[in-house]
Amino acid sequence: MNIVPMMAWSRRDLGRRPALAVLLFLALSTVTALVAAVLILHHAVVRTFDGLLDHSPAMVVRRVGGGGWMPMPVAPALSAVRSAPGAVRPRTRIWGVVAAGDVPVTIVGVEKVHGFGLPGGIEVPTPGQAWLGTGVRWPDKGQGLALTGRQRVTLAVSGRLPESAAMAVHDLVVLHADDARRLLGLQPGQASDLVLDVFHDQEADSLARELSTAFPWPVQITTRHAVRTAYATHFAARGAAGLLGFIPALLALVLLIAALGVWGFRGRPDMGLMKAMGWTSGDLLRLHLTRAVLVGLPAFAAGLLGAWAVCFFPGNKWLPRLLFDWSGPTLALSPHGAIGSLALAAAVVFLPYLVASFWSGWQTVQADPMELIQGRGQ
Amino acid sequence: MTLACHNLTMAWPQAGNNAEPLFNAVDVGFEFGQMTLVTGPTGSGKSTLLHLLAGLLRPTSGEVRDQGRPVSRWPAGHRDQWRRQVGICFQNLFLMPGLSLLDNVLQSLIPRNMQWSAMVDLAQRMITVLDLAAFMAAPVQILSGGQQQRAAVARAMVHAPRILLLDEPTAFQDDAHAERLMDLFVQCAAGGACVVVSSHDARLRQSDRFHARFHLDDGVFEAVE
Repeated sequence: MNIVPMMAWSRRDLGRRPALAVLLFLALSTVTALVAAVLILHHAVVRTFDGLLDHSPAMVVRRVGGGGWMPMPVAPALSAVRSAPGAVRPRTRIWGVVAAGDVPVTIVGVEKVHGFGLPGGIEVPTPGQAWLGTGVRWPDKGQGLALTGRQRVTLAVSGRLPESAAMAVHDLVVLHADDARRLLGLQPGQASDLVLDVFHDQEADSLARELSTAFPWPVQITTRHAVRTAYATHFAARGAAGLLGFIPALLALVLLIAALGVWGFRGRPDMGLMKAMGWTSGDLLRLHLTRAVLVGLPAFAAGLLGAWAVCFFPGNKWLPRLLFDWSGPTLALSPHGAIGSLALAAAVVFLPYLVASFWSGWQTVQADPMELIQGRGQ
Repeated sequence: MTLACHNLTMAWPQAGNNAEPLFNAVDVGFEFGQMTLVTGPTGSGKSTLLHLLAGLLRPTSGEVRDQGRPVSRWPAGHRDQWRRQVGICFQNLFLMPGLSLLDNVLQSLIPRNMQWSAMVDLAQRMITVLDLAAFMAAPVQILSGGQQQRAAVARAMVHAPRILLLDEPTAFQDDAHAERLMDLFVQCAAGGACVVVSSHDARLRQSDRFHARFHLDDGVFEAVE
């Protein structure tokens, strides 16, 4: 049979019951949007988080004591790490959390040394200066940024850190190392922790075991691989909970099935009549599926578009926060990931819809024409 | 060449085991190239006979044979294919509300593997022949009873069927239109089709254009001279 007449007839048939077609469209696009949003967000969050981890050190070493975290003496720490083969580019960091008014902010202390620079071409701050992340409130005119830690320190603001700096937290203040030490109560020659890289991520676990005994004090070592695994599990659990938690989506699915049932039931006399006019069971099944595709494909596309808009519309951050507790930088999705998410959404929503359409059509076309016309079909 | 009922019995399953069959062990043949009129009182089974001949119902026992082939015994898929050679006009018309007159006539042509433009052309010509050209795009439910009946005839005849089955095709027609319809049925038979008309219409009973006549009453077929 020619596809053009079949398409034309399907469109006319849908036009005879516009309310049912609209209902089906809305139900299917809603289910698609909800399922695709979770899948797309899951992939985007994992990819973005992986990107952040790729730029982070392979291993973080913290000194710990009975009361928890303790300042780390820089010289003996670097000496201990350099004794372990496989440790690459060990360096100490000065960072911590202090109060800016009544709001907590993360401070990072830096100093101008050979070969070190901040992203985005911004100048390394001198003592008394600070750069602010996008989430930190700009101080009132004529006033400095007042930070309170072990001491109270007021800094002159040099500017904003660029969005493209790909910082993991937007409540960040970058300041000189001396100011940071004063705020965190560190002595000269002390740091918050020590980080290092490795040649291969697979070596990190064995190196961590070796390093744990190389320091003169107890340390806690976290590898990038362990963090990646822990967060992958966390995001997968949140994604699954998100899918299950969409009760409205399930209700929409019930609506969809009910609509298909009504469609199949109400269409039976017409099916019988068409058989009497020379349509075969195969023709009717093709009509049923063409009709389903004419509604289903646009609904599926609209659902995906809706999911995309909800996930990536600029400034729309409530869904990532709700589903994945994500307040990090703007999410990114790779073409490969987008195609994978769409394929999965198709498998979860569109294929079952097509199977349901095929089944309801098959049930209908089985009966004798006169039984269908008189409403006595199966 | 005949379309024949062989030892045909039909009883409605929902009427119960003790109900009388509508007709019992009927043997009757309808010739191709001829027009046959079937008359009988209301409820005698004329419409059911046409539905059986069209392969829309399965007989309780016996067979419907098209040139010796037992079509009523064929599986559904084969009967679907065979039914493409049949045109039927129901007593209740069963036009599709919500569709235009043109769409209702096109309904018979869609599964026949034709180009869309050829289908539309054929349907428009059939509608024009039946004096309905002015209502081509009108929703079929706004047509009068007689116009709807001619629309149903157009739908049955548009694909030039080998077997044309017509249930009370002139019931709502004035004399001129009834005569016009009879002309078309005769043309169809002259082209080699087997045309079976079931009717109460006195104008048809008195017409000399039928080649054969049968009267159905109490489950018995009688040839009428």
